[in-house]
Amino acid sequence: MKINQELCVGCGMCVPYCPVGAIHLEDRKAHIDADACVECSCCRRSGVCRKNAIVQDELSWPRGVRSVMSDVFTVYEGTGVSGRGTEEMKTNDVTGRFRPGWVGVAVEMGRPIAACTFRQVQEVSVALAASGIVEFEPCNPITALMKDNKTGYFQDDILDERVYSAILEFPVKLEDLPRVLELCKQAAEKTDTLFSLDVCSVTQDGQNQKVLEILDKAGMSARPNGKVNLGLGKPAYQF
Amino acid sequence: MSHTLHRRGSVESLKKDIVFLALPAHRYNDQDIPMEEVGAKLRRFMEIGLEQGCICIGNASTGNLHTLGGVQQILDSTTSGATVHCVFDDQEKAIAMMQALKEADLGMSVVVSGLFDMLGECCQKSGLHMHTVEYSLGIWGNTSGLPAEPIMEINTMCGHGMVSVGRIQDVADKIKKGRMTCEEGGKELAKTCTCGIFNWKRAAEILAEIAS
Ligand code: SF4
Ligand code: SF4
Repeated sequence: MKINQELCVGCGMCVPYCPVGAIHLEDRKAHIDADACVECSCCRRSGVCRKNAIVQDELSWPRGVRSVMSDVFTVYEGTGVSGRGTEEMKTNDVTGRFRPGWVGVAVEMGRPIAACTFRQVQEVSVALAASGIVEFEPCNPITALMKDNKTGYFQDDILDERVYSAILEFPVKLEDLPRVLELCKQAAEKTDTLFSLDVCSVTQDGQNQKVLEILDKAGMSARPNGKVNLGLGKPAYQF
Repeated sequence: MSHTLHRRGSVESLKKDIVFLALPAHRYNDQDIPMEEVGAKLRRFMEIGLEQGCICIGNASTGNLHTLGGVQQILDSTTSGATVHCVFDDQEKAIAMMQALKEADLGMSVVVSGLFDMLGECCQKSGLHMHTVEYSLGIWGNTSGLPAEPIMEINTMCGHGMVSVGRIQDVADKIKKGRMTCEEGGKELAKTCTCGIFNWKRAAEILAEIAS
């Protein structure tokens, strides 16, 4: 994103709109720090600038990945879903993506507020992949940017690209969940950014209760609020 | 995408925050059902939400009340596959929504976010059951740069994080100075949450807390 310096009158109205604080005023003009900007389009889309001075410059590779991961309306062709991840548990009643005996884990790097570079995402993805029990979800746009979803290494030219968030998604066997949680704890100690963590599970045969017990043993408590798929989708997946 | 999952706040506050979303399953419903029929089902989902008293609706692919200009425009923009939302602030209305969705049998996947205890009760009363659940395990790593909790509670109501900390502080400041009411502030902040899942009513309550 850029500010047209000729049109900008330096009113400063756009400054608080940026979720990563990339806009500042200098010499009575707004400026965008290109390194910090994650190309989310929030400033421009808000319509806050009455002078239409906030303009989208052409996003070529590799900068374009910022927009894919950060702009709500940029659709990743592989999933057809706008946003940063897959449908995960939202359509599990139809797709059967997470079956009994398995759970889905999502490590959302940079969320909330902090943002992250792919280099920071890679530190976590490589550590997870090295365990041999994690294989990243192929339909997720992040996975598509990896050189190999078994190693967790990303394409070299995107490593310094900064995005608002990047979701590492993967299924694991229920019995491997404690090991994955341990790896996440270790990653949390090492990273200089942050991540939001979640686990999804079917309720069949009380599996979600077993998940809660595993979380408890790992010293990780689930928040009292979360998401529930109501099983209304059709055709219903037969486990 | 887990955009309604990581909401924060006290149990009392979260009792007034229940978000429904509906979507077709990619590579299933969008191949088996003509796109315009999928759009009609999603539109019907939002109409049911409005009939049951939701406080706002939105379409993640086309926009919210502010970006599209009104409820009718959101409905009209829903002509094919998308993730669509209805936000409720009351458990009884959420139960009625579940009952109505069960009856309507739209065949789209429906996910609801809120307090698990409360959702369990809603399911029981509406004759639905929890098929799959998703637990939030909170924030890990370097949290030193995060703002105060009430600001986080508002910020996390837009799962894409498009309600910036700067804007929240700006609006809270205007409320403190008497230039805006809390309700106006909540609605103002909802504008940049393009999916329309931001609970402006709950935000107004949190803003009142911040401003006091
Ligand atoms: S809102 Fe527009 S005119 Fe005002 S500082 Fe920002 S870019 Fe410049
Ligand atoms: S595009 Fe997003 S990150 Fe970049 S300046 Fe605008 S609001 Fe900030």
